[in-house]
Amino acid sequence: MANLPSLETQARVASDAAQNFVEHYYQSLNKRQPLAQYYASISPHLTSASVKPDISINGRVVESVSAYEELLNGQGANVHYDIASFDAHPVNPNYGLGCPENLLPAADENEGGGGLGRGKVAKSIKDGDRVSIAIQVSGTVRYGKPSDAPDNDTGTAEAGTTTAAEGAPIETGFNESWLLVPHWEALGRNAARGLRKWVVVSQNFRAF
Amino acid sequence: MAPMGPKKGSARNTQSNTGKTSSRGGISKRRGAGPLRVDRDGDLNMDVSTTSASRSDSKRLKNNSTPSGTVTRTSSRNPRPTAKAQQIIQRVINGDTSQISSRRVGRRADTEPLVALKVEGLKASKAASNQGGGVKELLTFIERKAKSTGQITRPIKIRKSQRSGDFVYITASKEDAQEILKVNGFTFAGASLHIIEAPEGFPNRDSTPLSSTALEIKEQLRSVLSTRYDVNTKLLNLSSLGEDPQLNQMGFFRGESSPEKMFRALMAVCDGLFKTPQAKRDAIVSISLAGNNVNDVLQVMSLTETFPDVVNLDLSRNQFGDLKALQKWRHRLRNLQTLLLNENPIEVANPNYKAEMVTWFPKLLNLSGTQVRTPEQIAAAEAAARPTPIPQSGPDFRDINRIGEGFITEFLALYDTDRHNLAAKYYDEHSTFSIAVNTHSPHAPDVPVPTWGAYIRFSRNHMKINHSSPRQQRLLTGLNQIQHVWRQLPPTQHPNLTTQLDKYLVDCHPIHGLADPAGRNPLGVDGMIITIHGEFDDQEPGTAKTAKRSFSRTFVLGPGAPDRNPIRVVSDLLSVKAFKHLPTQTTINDQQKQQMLSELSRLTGMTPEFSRLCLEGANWHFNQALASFHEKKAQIPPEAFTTV
Repeated sequence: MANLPSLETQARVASDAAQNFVEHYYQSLNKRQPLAQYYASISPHLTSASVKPDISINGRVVESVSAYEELLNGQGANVHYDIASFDAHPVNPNYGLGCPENLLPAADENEGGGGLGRGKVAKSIKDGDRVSIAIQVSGTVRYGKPSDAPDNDTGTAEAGTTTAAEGAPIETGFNESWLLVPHWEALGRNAARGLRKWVVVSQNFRAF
Repeated sequence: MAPMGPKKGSARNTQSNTGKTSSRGGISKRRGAGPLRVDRDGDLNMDVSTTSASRSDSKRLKNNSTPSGTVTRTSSRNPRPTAKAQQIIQRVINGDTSQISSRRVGRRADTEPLVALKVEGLKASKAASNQGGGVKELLTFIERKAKSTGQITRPIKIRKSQRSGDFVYITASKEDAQEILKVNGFTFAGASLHIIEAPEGFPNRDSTPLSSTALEIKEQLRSVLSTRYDVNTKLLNLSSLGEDPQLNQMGFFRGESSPEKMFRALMAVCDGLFKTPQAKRDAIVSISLAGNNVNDVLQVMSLTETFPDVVNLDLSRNQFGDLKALQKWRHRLRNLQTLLLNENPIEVANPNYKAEMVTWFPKLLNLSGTQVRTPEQIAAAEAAARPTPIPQSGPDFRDINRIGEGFITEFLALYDTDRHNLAAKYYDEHSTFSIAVNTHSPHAPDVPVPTWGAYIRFSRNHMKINHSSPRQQRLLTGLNQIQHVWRQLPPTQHPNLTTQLDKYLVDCHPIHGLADPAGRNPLGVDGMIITIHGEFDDQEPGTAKTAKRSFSRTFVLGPGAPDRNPIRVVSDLLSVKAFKHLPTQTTINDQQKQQMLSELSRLTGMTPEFSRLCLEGANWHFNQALASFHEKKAQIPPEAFTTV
């Protein structure tokens, strides 16, 4: 256990990873861009260890990321998620499921120079690369266009042409809880570029 | 409009004329007719002899540039009455600056801030003895030099100019003004130019209220309007204005004066009659412009500015020849339901115009007497465009051996009564807790926004707490820290989970790969994640003030360490926000529905059928149904109510 990241490192890693995740995920969501890259199902290592994302949306278990995307598309255009608050905790300082052999601590023994507990794997663990993270997000979903103002290329007044009540967007609050785990394919020496370092294994969404 | 010229000449684009010498031609032409002033659009300036015309406001300056400069160019023949009439109309138009400018904000030229500059040196130059006093030459010179000096490709445009004593005041866009200032020190016709910014704007020359004549004109226009307004049908009948005896008597259709200006003045007077857009909408539903010889909507553009919400519009018996002539209204009149274009050349010239125009106005039902849509189609189109939220389902509670249920039930009760021992039982030295305040959550309008004083100092909301050190400090790790903060958080009262389950939404499911507290399994152990949404009442320790709040809380639960409680809290994330009712799940049994039905019928007096409609519309959320009943009460047909 000596090699675990310090509490401070764990907290910092969790906060930074959450910040990055929240910023990118909800932007993709709002632009209705593909979401597959954010989920554990993108990782063969995790998948082969039977780690798959558990997605629960408004109380309904959604089978896969693409099924969730379908659900999102079913909402129609002009749905916007706005984050008002988020918080994150480190959960497991050294998550192990799906860890490939070359990233196991034992791999350090085969490397020159380091030896067990001193090699690259040990450093990576110490740096918090393998922290799993819980995130809770709180915000607003807006269904409909932000304003009912007339097309902006007209010269009509700010008084607007439509009455405020009808066509006004509906806003509801939402809470979304996440569990993120290390994306093994993004770790290690020969990692492909552009992969997210953490991926989703649990998602709980509720609008209210 | 009655004596309307051909489209090209009369519908001159206000924005394309500046900077062209032709537009300044009016200056020299009118010079012989007395000391009349023209601005750079060729329009007459508002006043000559009196000392004030409040011209400091750049928006007001722009309002003077009406799209009818060509008309004034011929005015040397008979300048006096025309000039006077135009001044008056312009004053009418300018009389209420705030309204005019607010109506015109959409125009780019209006919104662009103009910079006033002061040019000195004309008087000393040889050009001063030119016909026209050399202003025209000076402006051309400045524009040309500013362009070449700055080595820029776009034309530099002086928007307005006014000679005042030794100075010539000009306005230009901010960008252009930068370039023009570089001409400072240039020699113009033998004299050195001195150009500085004039933040005070043009010298004031008229701040007096409307003259008695102007008031009279305004009054006359008002009386014209009153004879043309039918209060019962809410129709403003502006048809065949050219034949209106009163307007003719006022000289609007004689030669030089512009019917367009008259129309703008009419609209301006209309505008002044209503205090709010709503009052306007209520009073005027239909407008007729039939038989006015209009061949392009540009000529009556102000109609859509004054009455953007008009529902029925009669444009029949005019000269609209093609879609282009109507193009400028394409994105306006969003509420138009009836549009009559009968007896216009377009009917022959472009028999397919209807198909196109239907797409322009989303609510159009009747085009030239033909039904083009049904209200149902419009409602359907609107409904289709509106997003539909992902439906709510009941709890997704995938518990393991009722561990989650046991934990959450015990947790809520003990959190209110005995936090210290609750923490001791479930939290250990590795457990983490933090609280995040969401001060921007949506809530019902009748709910007062609570204060967050007792919570905010612990809030770890990452949207607000951006730096790593306070983020570290507010993450509470280990039993002691957690107990310490829990003591400081206000005492709470949560509804009983068993008896008031409807006040909660709880989801949970198994998770894997948690750290093994026994340290045996490197792959970790299984646990579960619980999210609970609900409400609590709290009491601020200092002030004893009570408040109801909503919360969401996420627990990561795992097996406890050996010799400790079998369940431990790995992570506890609490989010607090303003109170808002949770949605009712769609899985309501028939008995509950029946209860809601009879209760709603009892409260509203509606028949069971309509109560059902209402509840279904609100997704069986009783309070929402009741609220929407009160909101739409007026529109509900009488048959919806049970007769007593």
